[in-house]
Order: sequence, then structure tokens, then C-alpha cells
Amino acid sequence: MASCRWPWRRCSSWRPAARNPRPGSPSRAGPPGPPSAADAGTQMSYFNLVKSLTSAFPNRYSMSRFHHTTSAACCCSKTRSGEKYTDPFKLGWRDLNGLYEDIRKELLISTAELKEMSEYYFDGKGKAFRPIIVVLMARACNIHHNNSRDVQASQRSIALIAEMIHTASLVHDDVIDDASSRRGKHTVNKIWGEKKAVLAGDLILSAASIALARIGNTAVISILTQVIEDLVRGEFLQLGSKENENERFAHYLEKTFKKTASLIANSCKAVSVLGCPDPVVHEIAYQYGKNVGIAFQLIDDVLDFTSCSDEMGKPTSADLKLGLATGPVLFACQQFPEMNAMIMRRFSVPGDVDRARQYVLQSDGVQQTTYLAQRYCHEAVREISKLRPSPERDALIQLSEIVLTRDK
Amino acid sequence: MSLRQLLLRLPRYLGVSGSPRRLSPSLDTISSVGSWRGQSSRSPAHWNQVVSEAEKIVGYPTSFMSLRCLLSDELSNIAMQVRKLVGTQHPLLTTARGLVYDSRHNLQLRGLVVLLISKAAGPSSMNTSCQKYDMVSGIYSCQRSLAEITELIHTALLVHRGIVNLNELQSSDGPLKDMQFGNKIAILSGDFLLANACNGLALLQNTKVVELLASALMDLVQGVYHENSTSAKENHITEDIGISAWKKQTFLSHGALLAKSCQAAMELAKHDADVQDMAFQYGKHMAMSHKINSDLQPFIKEKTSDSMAFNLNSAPVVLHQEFLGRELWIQQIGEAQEKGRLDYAKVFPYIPMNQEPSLLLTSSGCVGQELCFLYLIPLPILLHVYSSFFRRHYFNPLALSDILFISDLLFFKASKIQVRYNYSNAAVVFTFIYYSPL
Repeated sequence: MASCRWPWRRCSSWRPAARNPRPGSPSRAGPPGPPSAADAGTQMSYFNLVKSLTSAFPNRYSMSRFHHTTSAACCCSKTRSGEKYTDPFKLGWRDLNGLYEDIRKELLISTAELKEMSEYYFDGKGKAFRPIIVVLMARACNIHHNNSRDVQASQRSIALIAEMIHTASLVHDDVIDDASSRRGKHTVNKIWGEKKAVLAGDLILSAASIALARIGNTAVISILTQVIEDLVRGEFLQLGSKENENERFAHYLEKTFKKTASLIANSCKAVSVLGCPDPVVHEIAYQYGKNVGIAFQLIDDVLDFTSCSDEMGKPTSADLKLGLATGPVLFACQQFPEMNAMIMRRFSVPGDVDRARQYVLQSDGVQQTTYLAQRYCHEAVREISKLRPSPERDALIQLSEIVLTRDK
Repeated sequence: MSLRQLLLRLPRYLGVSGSPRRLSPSLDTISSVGSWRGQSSRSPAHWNQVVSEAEKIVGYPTSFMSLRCLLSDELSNIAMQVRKLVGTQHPLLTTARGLVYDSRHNLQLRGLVVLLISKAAGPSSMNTSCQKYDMVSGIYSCQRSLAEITELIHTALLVHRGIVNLNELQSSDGPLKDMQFGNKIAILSGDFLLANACNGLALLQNTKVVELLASALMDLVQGVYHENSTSAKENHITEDIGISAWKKQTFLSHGALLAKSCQAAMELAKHDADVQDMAFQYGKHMAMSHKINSDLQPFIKEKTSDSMAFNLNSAPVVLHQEFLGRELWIQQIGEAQEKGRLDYAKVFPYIPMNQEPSLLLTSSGCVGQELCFLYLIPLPILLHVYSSFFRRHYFNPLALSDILFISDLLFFKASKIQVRYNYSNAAVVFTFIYYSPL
């Protein structure tokens, strides 16, 4: 059942990577040369970057931790060898049966058209990446705390709420970016117009807030409210740009955290708060979500260059067309300083988008960004490995690798 | 820099010229109530005075409450972006100007009502844990935050409803690029206000209040959606809705936010379910009467120009249609239609409200009375609560007579209202029971 929900995983490209315990190996887009050399090469240039970044960006992303990730990688391969493999999506879906039906039940709307708009993206065709992480994290925390084998109803609600907040932000983002397709179909704004689409987004957000309030936990409300604030602030960060190269990268990572990772991090934290009173566990859950979230978005930005639009369900080079310089561009700019001017004018001159794309593909921007995403994933694995072993914990470890190797 | 100084600068940001005293005709509510009795001398200044008296009661001026977040980085960012829109046709500009200039007439009204009802109810007698230490002028600080949140939600939706559909643009609307940019800024600033509201709600640490306000937002979105979809086809014949459907829609678009905020204010002071329900009813009726009053405006203004347009979904028209019967109404509309466009001047005489203002409440058939019975009733309750405070705290005879005049007018043939003042607990606890006289 799960496999027919996830046709994009037909090639199962993550499997060989998962069996390979060496985390640093370039699993995609890298030259097929000797892995150790390639590793060293990327590591060198990456350290240069880290050096410049840590000064501009001292605490927030604690870049210096990446120096220790080799030990974390060892420890994760050790624990993994003892457990039998399950598909994390299958494992997660056990608790998510009827996810979309339940979300639709939250959208109590009398007007037929408004209901149709609000339910448009809850059609069961999304990846449900966030709900999966949330329920897996819930179980991992429950087992860690008192060996409980159940997911609480409130924790499952967080999964619904995370997906709803995500969808509400998608609807608004599509209007802001004037996007015309998503997940292989037309966007809400293209079908019903911008006026109605914005209201549909607001409606989904209000339904999510009602569901959140019904959980009845003020700490959880505060945690998830932070997400809404971060989403808006992330969108504001995207409006502005920085001239200085180092600042620009920090700006990019901060935007990535706010727009993508904050939702995953804070919903992971919310289920951990509901399942376990220990603040150490809350921090583990948050750090896992944050690192996986940033990695997820970095790969998303890579796929915008490497994937064709049929696979993604949305047009590629979309970020460039919107004038946004993402990770691959920023890395490429180090090799081709002539890109600076293009970044500053937000790729607005005709031909900029194609030229920038060529520069990125000629540079090692894609590999560098993938490598950075790997680093975030290793950090996530290192965090989650602090929890007591459980199938769900290992599924979360596996999920972080799926994030790196996904092609859609 | 103080908030007010900042606000004084804002008009320049928005590129507005002209007098800031500009009045929006539909908004100076109460003053026009006075004119029903032929007392046309009631100027908007009176309304301003009433508002500022009410502000004195609640402790500090509530004006520009929703613009307090101006001090944050994001909003100054928005102001910079909005500036780029000057010269374009995007409706966000009008909304932004309205935020600054009309806030004394409309916007802060909701917050003010929440504060007033908070003060009127006072602390709960049953609840001993809730001490008076965080009370200023008889209002808890959490209730003040709630009043602000109410304003934020209202303003956010005001901004979001001004999004334009890009595929319906006319050439007169200017370049597509400007409109896209305007939409972008409108969505972002609305979302920013909503995020601030969510943040404020979370800080209240009360899940019931969060649920109430979240459901109020949901109602409001549905109401705005419905209003947008009906006003889009303004020239067409409207749906056959009776006054009960009209009430339902208007509750969603206008009543729900104030009703639920008033209820939430009681919840924050730990009042029991009865008081909460009363506050809900009060807020609901207050908002509904406000809406009816603005619906009435085109019909009771002295001399209307030919281009005077009114909404075919407004209360007087809906009631008229119900009284007349659907077919006759369609016939009337048909006679007034020219080349597919509705000539409002021709429909105008059909609506019986277009008579002597003094007849409105007495002899103009069903319309005036119906409206009066429906919604104007609870307004006096507020006014009596107001006046009790005036009497006890300020003793301002002018404001008092003003208020009593309006309130007597509204008591007209309406209902029996029992107002009980409980002087023992330093605030007014009121109960009201009303019977329909029909």
C-alpha cells in the first residue's frame, strides 16, 4: 500500500547508500573517482567555508560541530547493524492511517468551493514527509522515556497540524511566487485566483490553530506558534539580499532554517514534550528536526538544478527565475566571481537564468551543497543516536539518508 | 522614538497628501444615529469625543493599537516595500492609508469594546487565585493583549481581502508587475500580522482563549470569502437569501470576531459560563448593529448623488426583498437595469428607507422596525454601562446626555432590558433579558 503511495521511490536509490556505512561518500552527482580523494577535496574547500562562516555566524548553526561528525557516523553504523531494516515510510504510516481524512475533518467549512480549495492539497499525493518524521519521533521519544509502545492521540494531532501549517504556507508561497504548478497539478491560485487562494491559506492556518488549541497544552502551543512566526520571517529574509559573500551564506542558511527546518524541528520538539518530560530529549528532538530540515531544503535546492521538471512536479530553475540565489549558486559564485553581479540584480537581465544555471553545473556547487547537506544529516544522526534504540529511532536515522538520496 | 511620532511619519512613507481628518462616511456610526431624529448637528467630533471618553475609562488610548508592531524590523521593511507601490493601483495602498487615518473611526473600535467589557465585568468573584496585581484601570494586562490581538486579526484580514486576481486585471490597473508585487507585500504583511496575533495568543497561556480566537479567525475567513464572492458580481441579481441567511453570513464576516473576543476576555478573568455567554451575545450584537448601521447609510443620507451605489446584499435591501417577494424584486431590479449595468438611482426609490429619516423607525413599514428589533437592541446596554462609568468616575454631563440620548433612541419600542449594576465589586455586572415585542 505504501509503495503505491510512493511511486517516486521506485528506483530505491537510497538502498545502496544505506548499506554503505561510510557517510561521506558522494552518493550522487559526484565524479566516480576514488571516494577518499573526493572526500578530502570537498572537505578542504568546505573547511575554508566553515572558517569564514563561523566568524559571521557564531552560535546559531554551531558549524564547528561538524568537525566531530566522523565519530557520530561510526556510532550510527554500529547501532544500525543490530537492527533489522524496515521502510521508514511504512513504519510511519502505521500511525498515520486516515491522515488526510482526519485533516479534512478539521476543515469544517460550509461553503463548497472554499472547502474544495482548502482540501486541494490534502489529496494523499504529497510525500507526507513531515507527518512521518513527527510520528516516528513521537514513538522514539515514548520508547526512550518509558518504553511505551503507543503514540498518544495528541502526538498524532501534531503530525496533522504540521502538515496543515506546511500546506497553508505552500498556498501562500505559491501566490507570492506566482507559481503555476505543484505536485504535478495546477496551484490553487491558478485555478481559483489569488484572492481566494490567500483566504484558503488563512483558513487552513486557522483550522490548524484550532486543532492545536484542542490539544490543551500551552507549551506545545508556544512551540508551534514559533513556526508560524519563523515562516513569515523566512519569507521576509527572502525579500532582502546581502552584498557581502559570507553574510549572504549565513542569510541563506537562516532563511532555510526559518522557511523549512523550523517546522520540522519544532513539531519534533512538540511531540517530545508531549511524550517525555526530560528537556534533554526535547533538545535532541529539536536538533534532529532542525538538521534534517536544513538538509532537506539544501537537497531541494540541488534538485532545482539537477532534476527535470517531470520528476519534481514543479518547474525547475524555479529559484533562479524568482531571483533567489540558493546554495549551489552561492558555492558556484566562489569559483566564478562574475556571478556576483547576477546575484545582486537577482537574475533579472534576460539570459541571466540560463547563464547562472550553466555556471552552477560547471562548478562544484551541486556537490558542495550536497556535501553540506550530508554534514547536516550526520549531525541529525548524531543527535538522534542519543535516544534509546528502537525501530523508530533507526527509521529516523534511515530517513535522514533518504533525504540525501531522494531524486524528487 | 515614540509610537505616535513614528505614526506621524508614516503618511510620508505612504505618499499620502491631503487632510488626515478625512472621514469615511460609513464609519462614523453613532453620530448618524443621532441624525435619525433630525438632529443633524451631531458631527463626527461627537463620535470622537465618545471614543476618547471610552478610552479614558479603559486607561490608555487604544488608537493605533494594531500598529504597535511598527516598531519591529519587519514592519519597517514592509513600509519600505509599500513605498514602492505608491503610484500603482494596488488596493493595499488604500488599506494602508486607511489603517492610519480611519483608525480612530473604525479599526480600534473592536479593541476598545473588548477593553470596556473587560472593565465592566471586572475580576471574577469566584476566583481568588487571580489577584489584582496586574490590573491597570480595572483591566488585566492579559485582557489588554487580547484587545490587541483582536485588532491584529481584523487588520490582517483587511489586508488579505485586498489581494487582486491577476487574470482579471484591466488595462487601467497598470502594469502586471506592480500588481504582483502588491499582492506579494499584501500577503506578507497580512501573514506578519497573523503571526503576531498567534504569538500574542500563545503568550496568554490559555488554551480555551486560543481556541476561541482561532475559531473566530476561521469564521472571519469564511465570512470574508463569502463577501468577496458576492461583491464580485455586483451588477448581477443577488442570490435569493432571506434575512436569516443574511444574519448567518454577517455573523461570520462581522460578528464572530468581536463576540468571541468578548467571550475570551471573560475567560481570561475566570468568569463562569453564564457571564461568558452574555459577553459573547453582547459582542455579537454590537458588531451586527455596527454593520446594519453602515448598511443603512446610503439610504438615510440627506441627498444622494446619482452615482450613489449600495450593496444589493445589505440589510435593508435583503429585508425589502423578503417583504416584497422575490419576483417583484427581480422585476424592480430589471426595470432599473440598463445595458447590463444596474442604475442604483433607479432602484433607490424602491427601498422604503429612502424617506424622511424620522419615519425610519416608526412608519416605514417592516424595514426600520425589523432592523431595530433585530440588532439595535443590545447597543443601549453598552451605552448604559458606559454611562455608569461616566457618572461614577468622570461625571461628564455632556457626554452623559449624549449617550443617554442615543440610548433612549435605541430603546425605542424595542424590548425590556434589565440592567443590574453590582456596585459592590467595583465594576458592573450586568444581566439582560430581552423579549421580542412582536
